[in-house]
Amino acid sequence: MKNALAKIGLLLLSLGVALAVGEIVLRGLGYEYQPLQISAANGSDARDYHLFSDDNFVYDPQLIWRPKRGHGVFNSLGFRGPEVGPRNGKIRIATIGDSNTLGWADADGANWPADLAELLTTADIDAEVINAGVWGYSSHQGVPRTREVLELDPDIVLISFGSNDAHQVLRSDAEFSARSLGSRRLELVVQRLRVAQLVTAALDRMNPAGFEPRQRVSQDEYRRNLKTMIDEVRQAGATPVLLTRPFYGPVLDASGWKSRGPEYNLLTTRVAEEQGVLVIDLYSFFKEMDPLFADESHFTDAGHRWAAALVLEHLRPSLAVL
Amino acid sequence: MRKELSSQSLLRQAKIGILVVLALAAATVLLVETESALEASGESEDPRLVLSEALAVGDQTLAASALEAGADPSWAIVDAARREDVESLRWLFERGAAAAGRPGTRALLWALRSEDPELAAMVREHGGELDATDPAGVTLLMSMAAAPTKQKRAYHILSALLDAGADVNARSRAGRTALMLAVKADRMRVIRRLLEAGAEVDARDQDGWTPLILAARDGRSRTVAKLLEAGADSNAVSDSGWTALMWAAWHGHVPVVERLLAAGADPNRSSYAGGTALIRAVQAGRPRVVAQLIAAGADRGERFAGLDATEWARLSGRRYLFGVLRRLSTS
Repeated sequence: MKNALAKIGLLLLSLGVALAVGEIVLRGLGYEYQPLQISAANGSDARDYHLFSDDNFVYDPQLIWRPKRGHGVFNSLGFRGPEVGPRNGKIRIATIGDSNTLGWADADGANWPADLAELLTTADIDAEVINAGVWGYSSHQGVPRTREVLELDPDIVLISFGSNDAHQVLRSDAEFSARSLGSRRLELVVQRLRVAQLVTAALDRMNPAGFEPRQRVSQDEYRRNLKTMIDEVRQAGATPVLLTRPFYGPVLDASGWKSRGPEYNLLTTRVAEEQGVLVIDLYSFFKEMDPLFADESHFTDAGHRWAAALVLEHLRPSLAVL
Repeated sequence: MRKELSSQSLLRQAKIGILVVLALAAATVLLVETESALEASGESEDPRLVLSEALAVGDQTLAASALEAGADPSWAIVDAARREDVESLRWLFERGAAAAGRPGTRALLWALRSEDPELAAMVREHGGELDATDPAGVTLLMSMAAAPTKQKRAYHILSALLDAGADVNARSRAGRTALMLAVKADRMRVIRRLLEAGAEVDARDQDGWTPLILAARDGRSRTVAKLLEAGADSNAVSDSGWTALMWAAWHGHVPVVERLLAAGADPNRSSYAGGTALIRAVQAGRPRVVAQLIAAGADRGERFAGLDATEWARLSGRRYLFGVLRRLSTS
């Protein structure tokens, strides 16, 4: 028995030494491989940052990254805006989307959902707005995020995706969440250990199809995701509204997301038509309005305010019914 | 000995390899040559081309046999019109050929280019439609109106089309008229000609844009003046809630703003899509336009999304507009 234990111990020790030697040799050779293959085909992948470096998020197997509750701009439920209390007869509006929905990072950073809340108050409409946008989110993450926000029983859910979906990467969001290790810590270890990188590289080599650049969310999946969100919002008794994703400026890189952005926006309007859902075409409205953008795809403070005003005008008929 | 043998067999294998590669290359070349030869022979035997070429060299016997063999005459009609070959056209039409569909329109285009009225009349008489459209609903008149200035014949053809009675107010699928396309292409001479021919000055496309809104957005001051002179409504609003003045203010087109205000554009007209022209000028950071609008009576207190002009200046990070907003409104 003792002998057997000693043997196992020796085995583990030699395994450890072998791994350590392997690690040292690989580091000495300067070997490196992105174990999760989430690096973008061109430039860096924002997912990498949000998942491993962004202090605002924790790992989540479904959402990939989830807002830390009560941290930064997020309230105790992981949404932006005041703490959510009892309804008290108020109309409850939820917004789901990416960085342009969540808004700027500082505590009072502009975001159109907050401006919408203010405009509703000014217009004497008793309503509140829950901002469930998340930096870097695609529609793939939008689906589980919608389920979260539906637990708060909103009346209207505004859905805005299409820019992160169009980003070109080596692993789509669906593939990424399918192969994730289930723990951020484990992912981090794997990302840092060269031996683990080597194993992942060997696995990837066996599946070469995974190296073709593709969109984070394919157009087919985007359509399906929108449809799923619409269905689930409706099943929960709320009204879904789709927004096209605004951005401006010339397309300089044919493989960049902006070259595909209009196709995703077109899909948004098509799905809305097919499903009989109200669509607010912010893209068409803002595409010639550079002064309202801080960069190619994010509103300035004034842009957020303007967008909120447009959204309110389009929502007025629905609000009157509620 | 074994070594020699193996090096010999290696050499032999290499030779066989080279021979195989050469044979493959030869076969490929042969295949490509045969295909292109086949293609070439196929082309020369296309009865449509035979007909067209026979008429070009005046061989009516060959042309007649091609027609009998069932050749589609539309290529020949277009080609004859291009050559200004009245005789061949007459010959074709006498045999029942018609200048129908898109080939007919192309033949008509060549005929109109030729400055020979007889040619154009003949093509029209045999089916060449003046107002035929392409899949986008664009007529010949529209494409001539949108042609760049360097296409010198375009104006001549456009004029001929109008003289022949082409519909000056025909709409493309996007609801655009020839006048709108001429405004977009900045063709002043064409704009004048279309207006003389009765072009509707306030026609709206499917987004509710009028020629004046298009011209104002692009900063075409002379065109704006011409359209206003022709009676364009200076306060027309597109479906997205923009007037010509709002667009000119947004883009900072000072001369256009001046002309629009002089023609009675209302500086205080507001829409859900962005408030007044003043707010838009503030938003886009256009101090000269802000000054113009306030001088024309724009109300500094008008609000959009709960904010007035000064508050928009602050929110947009355009504090340099504070001065002009304050100074002018107190003076």
